[in-house]
Amino acid sequence: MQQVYSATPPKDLINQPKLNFIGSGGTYFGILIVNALLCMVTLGLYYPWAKAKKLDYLYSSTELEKSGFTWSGTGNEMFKGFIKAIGLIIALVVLNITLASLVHKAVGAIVYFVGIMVIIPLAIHGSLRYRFSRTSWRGIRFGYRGDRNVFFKMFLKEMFLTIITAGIYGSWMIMKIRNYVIGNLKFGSAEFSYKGDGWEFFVLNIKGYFLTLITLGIYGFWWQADLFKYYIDNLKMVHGDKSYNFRSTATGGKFAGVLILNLIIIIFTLGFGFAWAQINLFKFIAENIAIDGDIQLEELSQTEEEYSNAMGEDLVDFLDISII
Amino acid sequence: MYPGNYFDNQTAALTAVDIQIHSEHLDFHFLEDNTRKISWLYSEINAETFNKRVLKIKHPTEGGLEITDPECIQAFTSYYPFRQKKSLYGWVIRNGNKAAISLAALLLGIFLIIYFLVLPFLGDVIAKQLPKSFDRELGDLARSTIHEKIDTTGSDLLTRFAKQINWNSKDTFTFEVAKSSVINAYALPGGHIVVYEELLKKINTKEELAALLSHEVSHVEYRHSVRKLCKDMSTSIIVSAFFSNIGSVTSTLSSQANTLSSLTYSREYEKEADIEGLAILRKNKIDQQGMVKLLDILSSIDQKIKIPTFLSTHPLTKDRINYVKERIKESPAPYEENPELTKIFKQLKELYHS
Repeated sequence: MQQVYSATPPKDLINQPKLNFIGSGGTYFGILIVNALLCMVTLGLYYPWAKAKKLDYLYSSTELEKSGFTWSGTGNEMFKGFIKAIGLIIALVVLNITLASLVHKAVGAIVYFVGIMVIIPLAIHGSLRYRFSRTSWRGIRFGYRGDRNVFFKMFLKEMFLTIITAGIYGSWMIMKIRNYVIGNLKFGSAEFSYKGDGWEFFVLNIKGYFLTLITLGIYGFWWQADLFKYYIDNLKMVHGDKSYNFRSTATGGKFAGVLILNLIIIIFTLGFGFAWAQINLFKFIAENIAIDGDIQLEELSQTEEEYSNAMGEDLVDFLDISII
Repeated sequence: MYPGNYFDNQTAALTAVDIQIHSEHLDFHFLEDNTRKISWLYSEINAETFNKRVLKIKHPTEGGLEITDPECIQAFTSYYPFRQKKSLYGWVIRNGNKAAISLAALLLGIFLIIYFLVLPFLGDVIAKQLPKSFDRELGDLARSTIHEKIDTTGSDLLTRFAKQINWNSKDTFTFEVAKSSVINAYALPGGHIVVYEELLKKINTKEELAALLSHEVSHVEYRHSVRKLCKDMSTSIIVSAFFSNIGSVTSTLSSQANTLSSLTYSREYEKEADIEGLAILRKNKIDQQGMVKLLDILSSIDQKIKIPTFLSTHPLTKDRINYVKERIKESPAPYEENPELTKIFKQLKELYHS
């Protein structure tokens, strides 16, 4: 996306902060393996602490202007959310079974389906609130300020439209949700915005899908690059009257390089190389996001409160939803 | 005096400071404003090092420090009681690749032990809890997904042939011949046994056919499908727990029902079916050499390019021939002609001549 300035700012104020990912495959592998062992020994109960360790490492490994991000969420917080999430899911399943045996199978199934539909937006909302309030950089917290009721209604409406159009509306749904969620993200006193258009996104995907079929999958890398570009280039950060624009420098060729390399790593290490593959991908992503504009990062100030309810964070894991 | 950067939790600005490390606390003053000085006790701060390159110190209210000076990190590390130091994570983060490789080796060891010792045992324990009626339901379910063209005349003959043999089992078996160009035979849990006509064409003697049926009956009798299912299920549950992916546990459970159609057995189950098949042959006074000849036929087909599904799951036919021969040597048994078997087999061969 082209950047349009209202007035040409003084040249010395334009800056290009660098994003870097400095994690190492070996250390990350070690963390994942210790996590896996402890999860296994505790029959999965260790999961929240495992997740906290993993996020802690990944956040610390991501640097903006040589300062790492900080994840300050804890396993204890997420464990409470984890227990609540399990309770909620069990309650729903029990309700389903009870209704199915007492009233009718269909009634049980419908209640279950509706229950899940209601939980999904609430879980996403909770997860965003928690995740971003626990993210900080040089002490400045991120935050998500979306309104729960607004998001809830929007999600259900979009979901409904997507279902009755047999999924065609999905592109519009994704863009609406992304616009809303990113539009409510804060980085201290700075705000993010995202301007995605359902039609553009739809065309991009249709084109990507058919060209990928025609080229027997080869175009897939370019499709991926287009999606990445659409995601990054429509992103903007605003601070007062100043802004940062984000730009993807990834191409289909570059994507092909990193994804094929990762595939080779995973195959030849019989899967043990997955940690290195993931680290490669994170490095690739960080390297291919260019930021420029006239915001002085030093001017960002603290505005966001802490938020410690992690139930949403765990629910999205249960329901296997990836946020943003 | 070590160089570092301070942020105050109010803005994202970094201020250059000079840090002094003491045994119980650290303090730092600002380069720009020499009179301003801040002091933090180790007990009130939170510190962590990352890749041995960065030291991050956080104070709950007053802000934090970012330090990259290696000497400062070393000095601080010698005084500050790192909470992480003793934990496994601390060890991993300090040792990087070395830790990763030793953990990988340990993990592989544990994985192998679990996969080859614990899971089969666990699977058998679970399988024992399941009633035999479960086998039949499972078999019926599998059967409804497999569509075979059944040859009724052949099936009648095969059923009559099988009736001549005492299976010595509480299960009831059904025997069918299916039309297919694949050389195959299989047994579904609950006792439904199918032989493909292409395989019947390759079989030359009634002893070989009896051996084949005994082998399949043993799969049913010793519940190999159910045991395998239980083992696979516990495997995937443990694998999911291992990769801390809880959401997938439920989907794994439901997808397991479909794996039955693959109908592959492990080598261990094949061996059991061979050995127990021999016992059935002995009990019925049928020549045990039938099993050896059957395996000979299978191994000769094995070498052809067209690898049928049934045979590809019976690995190392040579190995099987060896232990079957040994077993026959260990427990030889008299055998006698069964004119009825001969007669039915002749009729079968008239239908399926090679």
